[in-house]
Amino acid sequence: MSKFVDKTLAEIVDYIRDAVFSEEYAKRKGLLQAIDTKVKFIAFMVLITANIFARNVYLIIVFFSVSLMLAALSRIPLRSYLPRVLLFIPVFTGIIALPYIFNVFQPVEGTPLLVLYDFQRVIHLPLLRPFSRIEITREGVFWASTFLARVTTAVSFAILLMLTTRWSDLVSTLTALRFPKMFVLIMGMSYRYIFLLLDLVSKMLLSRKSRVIGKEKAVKSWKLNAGILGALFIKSYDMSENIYLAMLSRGFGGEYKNIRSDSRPPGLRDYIFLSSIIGFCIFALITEVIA
Amino acid sequence: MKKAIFELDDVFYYYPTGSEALRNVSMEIYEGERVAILGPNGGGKTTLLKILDGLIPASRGSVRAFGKVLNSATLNSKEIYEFRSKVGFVFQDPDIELFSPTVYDDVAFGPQHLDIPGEEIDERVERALKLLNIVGLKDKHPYNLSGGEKRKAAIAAILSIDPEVILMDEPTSDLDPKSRSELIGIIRELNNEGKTIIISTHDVNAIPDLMDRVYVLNKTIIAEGTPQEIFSDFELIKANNLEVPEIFKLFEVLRCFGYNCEDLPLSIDEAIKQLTKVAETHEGHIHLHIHEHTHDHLDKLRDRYNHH
Ligand SMILES: Nc1ncnc2c1ncn2[C@@H]1O[C@H](COP(=O)(O)OP(=O)(O)OP(=O)(O)O)[C@@H](O)[C@H]1O
Ligand SMILES: [Mg+2]
Repeated sequence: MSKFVDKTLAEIVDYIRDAVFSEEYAKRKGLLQAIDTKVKFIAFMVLITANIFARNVYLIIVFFSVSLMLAALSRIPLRSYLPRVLLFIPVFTGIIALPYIFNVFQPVEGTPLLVLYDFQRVIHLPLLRPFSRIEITREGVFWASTFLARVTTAVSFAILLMLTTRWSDLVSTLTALRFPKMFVLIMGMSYRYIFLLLDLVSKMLLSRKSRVIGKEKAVKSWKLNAGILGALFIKSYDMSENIYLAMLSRGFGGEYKNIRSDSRPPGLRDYIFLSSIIGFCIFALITEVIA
Repeated sequence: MKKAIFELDDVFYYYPTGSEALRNVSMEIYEGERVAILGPNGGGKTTLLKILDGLIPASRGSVRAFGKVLNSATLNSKEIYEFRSKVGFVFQDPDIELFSPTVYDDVAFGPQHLDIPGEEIDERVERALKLLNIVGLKDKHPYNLSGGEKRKAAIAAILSIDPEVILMDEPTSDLDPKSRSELIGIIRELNNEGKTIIISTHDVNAIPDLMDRVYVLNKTIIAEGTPQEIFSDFELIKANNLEVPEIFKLFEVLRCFGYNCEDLPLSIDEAIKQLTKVAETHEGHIHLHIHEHTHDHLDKLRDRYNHH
């Protein structure tokens, strides 16, 4: 596999892991850290939903600025927050969104911005609309960038929530908000073990790298990757079986009994925070409808 | 006559893949005993412990615990909860044990599910954390722990159940020397409180001081005896890829230099006792010398321990 993919994979894993489990930022004294977790969770769900309903790319940019502002007020250095949100997530959604800038992938004929190739006749291909030219259209560019902006903003909110909240608080909040206990248990476990398995992958990639001298042939490299994938599958199956047995051993009988639930009532400041977020979202969406 | 806790008679176990993990295993374990299960990788140690913990039923043969039969019917019945609160199992991989958002939650998981009242849960968790010296890790996510810290947290998660029998699958692996000797101390203390301890281990240096009895397991039970009996059986050790304690090796070397005694010591404590005795019977001296066979014997000894 290419160095790029290896490296990006490792970086993404590191970053997301940091966001979820590192308590460095969650311990700082800032705006979001001081807000009650239940209220914060709801506020972020409101923000993400409003952002999804926003049609206008400028409005989405406003939402994104709000996330930056909140990050700054929570003493999260933009230097480390921004590049990751801006770099990784859009790179991947960008790969998905990119084809849509071309006319051939669009449902209707758009306004051409740039003609890449003119076939001089109509081409028929399965699944695609008949076309005679390949061109980048205005609508396509607009649609792709809106999509990108929306995903980026949603992700930046999610990351901000994780960065400013301890994982255990987030779990207690879900229980307090009446998410089913089993759902909360499974979600917490998924997170825990996905990262464990990803650690395993990076270890295996590393040990492979230290064994390979010189350049690997592509075929061999893919075979090794298939091996890693296979090992990962077996390991995760084996682990899930053992985790279940370990739970049985400690008295688990199919019903999860958990006492971790955040029952502290939110304070005035929390309600003010929530109402200003809701107020902002309503205002933003109404402005868009009017404009 | 001591009460038998586990009685296994001619137990077989086949994994669904068809691979045979245990064959013809018969054993008895008594109340308050400390038993080590020693064996090569893939020898079936983990499988045996899972059977003892009532997690998987034997494919053939009979398993009795506290006088009651453990089979697939009883394992799925409500009665099993009583058994679960009497027997605790520390898995080989501590990551398996730690699936909750904090160490506290993991340690509380057992008591919560075994219907211990709320106030007592806190007490038990605190006690277990204190015993393992990890009170400071209480609010940490297991993901952020080191290997040794995870191991201790996993052990605390079982001690909070306060079981009569503790099964441990290679508990000393990935502990640093200090934590390892702390754990050995804890195991000894638990045993002094009357708990039965069954441990699978590769750590032969920990066995002599700690264990009363050793089973050598390689699919089937190869041998059973006191640590002294097992480690003195050189053929047995070699055939099963086992190690012997370093102290034992040292005294074998001394023997090549003319040191003379029947049973070689297996641990520092035993060595001190024995050296004192030997010195006393020889007017305060221990005599070592190079004789005509010393080099031959040393070569043989080297050969022996370099080959496995
Ligand atoms: N889930 C499983 N499915 C199929 N076969 C298994 C499974 N677990 C273990 N085995 C097989 O059963 C045999 C005994 O395994 P077991 O894990 O009990 O050995 P062990 O003595 O604990 O080894 P180790 O010292 O490596 O921990 C091995 O041959 C192993 O391959
Ligand atoms: Mg094992």
